[in-house]
Amino acid sequence: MLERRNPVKTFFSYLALVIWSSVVLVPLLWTLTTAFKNPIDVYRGPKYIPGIDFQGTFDNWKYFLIDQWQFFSAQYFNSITVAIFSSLLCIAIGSLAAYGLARFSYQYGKIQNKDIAFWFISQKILPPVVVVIPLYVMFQWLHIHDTRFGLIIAYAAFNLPFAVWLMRDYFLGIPSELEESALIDGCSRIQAFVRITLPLSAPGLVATFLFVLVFAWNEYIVALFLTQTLASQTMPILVAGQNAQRGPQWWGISVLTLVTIAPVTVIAVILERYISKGLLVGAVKG
Amino acid sequence: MSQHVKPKKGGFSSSETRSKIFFLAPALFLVFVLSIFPTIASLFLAISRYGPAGFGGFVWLGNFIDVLGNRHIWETLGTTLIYVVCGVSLQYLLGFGLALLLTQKLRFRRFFRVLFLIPMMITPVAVAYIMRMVFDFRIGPLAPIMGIFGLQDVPWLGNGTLAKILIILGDTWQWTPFILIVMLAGLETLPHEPYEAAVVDGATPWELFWHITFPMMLPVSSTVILIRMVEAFKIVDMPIVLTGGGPGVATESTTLFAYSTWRSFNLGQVSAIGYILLFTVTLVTTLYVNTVRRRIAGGM
Amino acid sequence: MNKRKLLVGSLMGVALLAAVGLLAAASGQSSLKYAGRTMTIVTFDGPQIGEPLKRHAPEFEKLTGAKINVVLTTFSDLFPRILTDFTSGTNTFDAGVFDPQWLGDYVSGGYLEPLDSYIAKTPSMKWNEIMPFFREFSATYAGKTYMVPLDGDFQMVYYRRDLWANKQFKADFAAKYGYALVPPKTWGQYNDMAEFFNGKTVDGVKMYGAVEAQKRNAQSFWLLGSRAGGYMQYKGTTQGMFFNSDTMKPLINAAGFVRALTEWKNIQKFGPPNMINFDTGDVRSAFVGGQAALAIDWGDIGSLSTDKKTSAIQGKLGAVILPGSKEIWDRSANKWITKNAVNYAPYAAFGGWSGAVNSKSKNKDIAFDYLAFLTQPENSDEDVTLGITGFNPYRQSHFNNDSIWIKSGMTKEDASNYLGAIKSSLKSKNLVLDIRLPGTDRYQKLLDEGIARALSGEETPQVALDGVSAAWDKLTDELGRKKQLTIYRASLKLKSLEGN
Repeated sequence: MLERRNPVKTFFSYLALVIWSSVVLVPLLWTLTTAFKNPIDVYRGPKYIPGIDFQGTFDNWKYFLIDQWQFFSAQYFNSITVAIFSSLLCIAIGSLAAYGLARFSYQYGKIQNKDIAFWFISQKILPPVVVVIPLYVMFQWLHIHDTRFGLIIAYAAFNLPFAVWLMRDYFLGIPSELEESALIDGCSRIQAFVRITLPLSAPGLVATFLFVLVFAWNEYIVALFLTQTLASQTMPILVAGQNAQRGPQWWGISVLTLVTIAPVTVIAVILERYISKGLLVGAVKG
Repeated sequence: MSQHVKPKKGGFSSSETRSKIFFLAPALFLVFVLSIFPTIASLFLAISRYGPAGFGGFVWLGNFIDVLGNRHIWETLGTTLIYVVCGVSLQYLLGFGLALLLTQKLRFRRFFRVLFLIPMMITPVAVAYIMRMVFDFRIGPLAPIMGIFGLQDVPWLGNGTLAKILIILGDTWQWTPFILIVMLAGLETLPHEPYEAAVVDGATPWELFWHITFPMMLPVSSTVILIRMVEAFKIVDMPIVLTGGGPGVATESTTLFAYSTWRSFNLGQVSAIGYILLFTVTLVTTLYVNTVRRRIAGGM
Repeated sequence: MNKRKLLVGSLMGVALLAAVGLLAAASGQSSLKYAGRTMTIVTFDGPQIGEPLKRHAPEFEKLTGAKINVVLTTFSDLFPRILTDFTSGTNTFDAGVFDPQWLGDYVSGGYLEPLDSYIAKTPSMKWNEIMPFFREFSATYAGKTYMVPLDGDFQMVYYRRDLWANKQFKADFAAKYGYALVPPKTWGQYNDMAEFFNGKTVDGVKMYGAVEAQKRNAQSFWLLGSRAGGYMQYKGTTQGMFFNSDTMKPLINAAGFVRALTEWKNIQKFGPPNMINFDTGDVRSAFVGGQAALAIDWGDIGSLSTDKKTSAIQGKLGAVILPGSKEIWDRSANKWITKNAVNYAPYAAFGGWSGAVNSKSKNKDIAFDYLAFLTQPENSDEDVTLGITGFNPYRQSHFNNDSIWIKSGMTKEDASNYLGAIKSSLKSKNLVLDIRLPGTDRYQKLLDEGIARALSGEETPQVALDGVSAAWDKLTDELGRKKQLTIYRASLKLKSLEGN
């Protein structure tokens, strides 16, 4: 916002970045080095760098990526499919609802916009353990238990309240004058929404998508109940299984953590560019 | 919460009733269908005795009386409130601060933006395990530093207060990125004009923040805090992995209490605990929503 | 035209070939007993139990044609996960491998198939070679056999043989405590030794005196049982130590338990500063990593100590039956009595992973055959010695034959020491049986909370255990006192009380 930067301020900005980066990085780097350790190097720690203060090993990677490939690859594929499709579905339906709540006023008896919004969020309050068993029974009835489709629907629904709330706020932040002029030019309401509001709220859309994606990617307890075999089981179940009778398999958790971060990070790198100014400014001024 | 920007009544043609419903219907339908059965079922369970042998008759308020009559639920509710209030405040301050930092024109900005998001991308139970390694001050990465200060032999997770602090720190490591990214997107969609006008009037950066950025970010802020609050009330992975709820019951959250009851397949009591939590969260969030909305209305 | 003919001809040829192939494949399969069928078995996740179940599946498929589908769930979610399947009538699980303590809940619900007739028809599983305790107590419930043992579980004390053999330590110890440094026979000696070794430096590592699992919501329930056995039970397995077998009044706040809990809290001084937060995983890594002189654990430390990647104590492993006491709490007279010999009461905590068959399954035959296949000596001899499995020795062939252990990397001394401790525990007529009632998990959870309050110092052991006792009584009333008493007596092989 300010063109000339104060060197002292710049210094502190970078200092803050470095400090938080190390807060983020220390656990991540520790995970990285643990992924190459034998149990004994974990127990007799702290050991930091493979080849220098301990003898590194690829066994942990080999275990998942070669020995257990059949299971690992299926679960990885399920996770990616379920996370992406459920997030797309969630964002599509969620932004429609959010747009409705942001632009129209609903009134059914005493129920108004804010009540509808609160009803959405209230669906997220019960702890998952209370609802998983009824859900399990319901999915069995519907014959979508242990299918990717079932999980996609479930995650889309679970994340909807968050998507609705977040998107509504982003839409509210966008001046409605642009849509109004589009409507006057003969656009339908849907066209105005798709062509004008959605592009303008790209940063919010991306942020919400990433958030919803991460939730679907990492969800455990619902997946535990709604899946059963490699037909639909997802990665978090594999991760949770590393907490074993023998104590946590730190090396296994580390490998799985790193491989599960990878695809989401790639998506974040691709989408990050859309979380930036310019789009809106250009549109408003143009 | 964001009702300060009133939906434009009559701003558009009134023949839009149909598209109005079109926008809302799919979401309402999906959430309703997936929540209606579990809600009815859990209400049924909450007033029943339901264990490994299946349905064992109605006890009506019996489960609630059992649960509320035991000090355990009150202890866990207190602990949960501490997690929610301390954790979410800390995460909001950090997340907002970092978002402000990352909207500045700094080198490697895009790298930092992605890096700072990574903790959120790890499955919660794995984050808890990673934190357990990091907080092990004997064989974890921080051991040499703690050794210098002679802090290695402090029973970090063996002391109720210290353990709570570590759990909040672990939770903060994981969830600050969520607030960061939502606030960042919010900041990036703010209109430019108010700033330009204020800069012409000679406003200082602090005034810009306090009088323009902060009020304009209040709707998004209140939403992001609400979402975090709802989620933080359900904190379970971090305490279960770090301390199992101990020492004593010092770090046990209500959801962990529900979880361990569920593990015994005592479904009646689990549902009762769930509804007690539902009541508490609704109470707290409604209070919060009302207070914040008044604040937003007054501030603008 | 010619081209076309050729194409059609070759297509037909291919089709014919495929048909022949299919026929051949079909006929080849049909010669196998269970061709084309799939059996689903559920168990605990992690390499430990799931690994052998998955590893043996292809061999079994080759032999019988049955496909084995292994469903894995974390230990903490296993109990509700199986029950959800059973109670909802879904019955997707044909079999399960789980904790025999859950028989109380599963058999009462009618979910499990009695296996006696199956066992009689399957000599290859060598049922009678399974150690009597597991056959007669662990696998049975109310007079019928419901489970196939796959693992032997009870707790032992581990010590470092190299430290106990060290001349300097021997001399110092005798000078300080006035008796010789030998593996602990009583809890008093155990305490002395933990104190003695705590803080000593061995091979550059600062030692902890003892490591034990005190964490909340983990294994503390079983550890307390191990420490209380010697004080509470002295008349053989049928005496039981958790309830009064006439009234179902809890014994959990009796002086023997209070003393055990008090001593257990005191051991914190000679353990790692964070010991109140240690679970068995931490105990194992600390002991196998060479950081502790004493540890209490199931048999797992034995097989873990053989693995070079894991262990810093190869050739240094010592194991011994759980210590006992000369002072014993007489529950009927409400006073301590003193004996001349040490009273040992090793605790069969948990009871060992065992397999059971769903009574409503369509694949009971395959399910049982697979369990029998797993337990037969040809397979289990190897499984119990592998560090990666969580299976501990439970049948004669595992004990009589040192060679399987030496092959797995144990030294001869380690093997005889380890197996000796297991044998002396299993031979004991005074083995303590774990709780096996409907609601077992709820009893355990209440005790876990009480133990945690005492270990953290929030309450005294007496107050905490009084609280547990009251809560247990309330639970017993909820579940039906008469019914619980009948089942408790049956689990101890006591005659049912007259008038019941």
